[in-house]
Amino acid sequence: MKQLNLFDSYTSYGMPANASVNGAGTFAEMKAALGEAGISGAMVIRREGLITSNGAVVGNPLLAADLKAQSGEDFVGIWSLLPSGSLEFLEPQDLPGAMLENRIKALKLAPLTDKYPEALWAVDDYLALAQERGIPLYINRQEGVTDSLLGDLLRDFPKLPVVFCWYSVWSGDRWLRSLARCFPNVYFELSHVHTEGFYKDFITRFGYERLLFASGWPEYYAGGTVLNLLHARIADDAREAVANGNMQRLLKGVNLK
Amino acid sequence: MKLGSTPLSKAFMEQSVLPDCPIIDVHSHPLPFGGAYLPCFDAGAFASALERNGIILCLIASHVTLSSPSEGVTEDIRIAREYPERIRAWYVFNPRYDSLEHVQRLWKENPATFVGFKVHPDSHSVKLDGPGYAPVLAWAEERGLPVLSHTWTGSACNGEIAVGGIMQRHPGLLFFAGHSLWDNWQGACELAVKYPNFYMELTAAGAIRCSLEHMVREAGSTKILFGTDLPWFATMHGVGCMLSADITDEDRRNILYRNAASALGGFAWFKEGFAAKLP
Repeated sequence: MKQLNLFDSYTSYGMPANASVNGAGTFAEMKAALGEAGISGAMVIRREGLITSNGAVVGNPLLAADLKAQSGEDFVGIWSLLPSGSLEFLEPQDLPGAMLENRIKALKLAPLTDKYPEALWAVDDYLALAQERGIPLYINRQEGVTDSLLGDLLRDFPKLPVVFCWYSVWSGDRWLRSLARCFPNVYFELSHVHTEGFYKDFITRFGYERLLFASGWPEYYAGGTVLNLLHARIADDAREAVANGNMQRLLKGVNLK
Repeated sequence: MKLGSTPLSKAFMEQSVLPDCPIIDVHSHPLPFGGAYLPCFDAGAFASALERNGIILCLIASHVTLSSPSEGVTEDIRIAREYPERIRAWYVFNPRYDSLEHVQRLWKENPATFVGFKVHPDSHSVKLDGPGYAPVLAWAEERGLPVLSHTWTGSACNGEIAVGGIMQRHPGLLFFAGHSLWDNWQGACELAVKYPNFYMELTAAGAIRCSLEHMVREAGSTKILFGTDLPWFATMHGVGCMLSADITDEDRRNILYRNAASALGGFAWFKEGFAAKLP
């Protein structure tokens, strides 16, 4: 049986008040479910933090507590940013140390969910820090990162590694290809990229180095993205890079000390 | 369920084409789509995808036909004729422009091309249970022809009320509920249990975690058909979702080919062109 060394570049778990996600309530449930699909590690976020009434102020500490209780380093956290200047989030100078202590290696911009200005100036101090430290920044259009904001971000912070997430059942290829062509530090999280022939077609034009496997769990059955990658008509080194290597390379570039 | 933990799952982890478990995809849309780039849109790439994914029969309704009534069903006839070993066409019926008389004429002129009707009430802004579709639904029921409809929960055109309404009016209709009344799986299951010829079709629906277990538990795996909107969703993505679901290999075989073969098995075109490809 073919096997891939799989690392999920974005998954979530938890118990948001407004939705039931069967079997995705606890860290242990998530780990077991991913394990059944052959996925041994993941970038994770708490689902509680994805709704406005909780947001980063609730999701971030819940995630940190879970990660600190884990042995091993297969699971790595993503914290959502909030504007500085309050007591609700760490100031930029304190953030790297706290991230290191709590196994957090990536940040996320969600101005719509977390209710702050959908503008670069609201968080530019953190973005400067993330660029300097090589910390990946997750963004998606559904959580308030408009195309205009994204353009500003990529022009003002050209060395910042940005992970672009596409959350729609409709193909996001026109966004992915535009970004791939214009911005070399944009990476693509593939949990919702399910079109037939995507891998071969995209890799032929833009290479495989910026594609990051993601299972889509807990919304989707994890086996879908796994089997699709397993049988994609691409070279094995490309397959391994998408499955795991590209994300590990990004994480190796993070400097929190 | 753990990938590779059953014989069928293990086999699909090894290779995408399993002669002893072919795939029949009843819901697909070749040719370009204005709203999104789909890599395998052209007919040649589409047909190649069928071959490499072990699809012995694919039922098509091209984007062009669905969205450009001025082009009629010409492109679908062309593709079905070009790839007769794997493709048959749905007749896309748009009540705004078409008539039963026209349908019957084209049907006669193109033998062994059309399998039944594809309708998309939401896209055409016509209610499935309204007068526009009535003549074609009655003709389909009379002849035992399948109807694949886009179905979506809450939709005035093709939601629970409209779908339930036409099934009440045509209880013998061979009806494939595209997307299984997304995301009212329970509503789709109730119709599947009530009407013997009502099938739930899995495009997009089959990827949503826990949907398959729900459908199999409530209606049985014999009432579910495999479909992907190909090339919107990769075939192996759809298969992989089924491998992760907590259902049996027998359920998977029912969904992947047995149910469609059973529903379509009475037609001469199926007996002549496809029955021999089944295990």
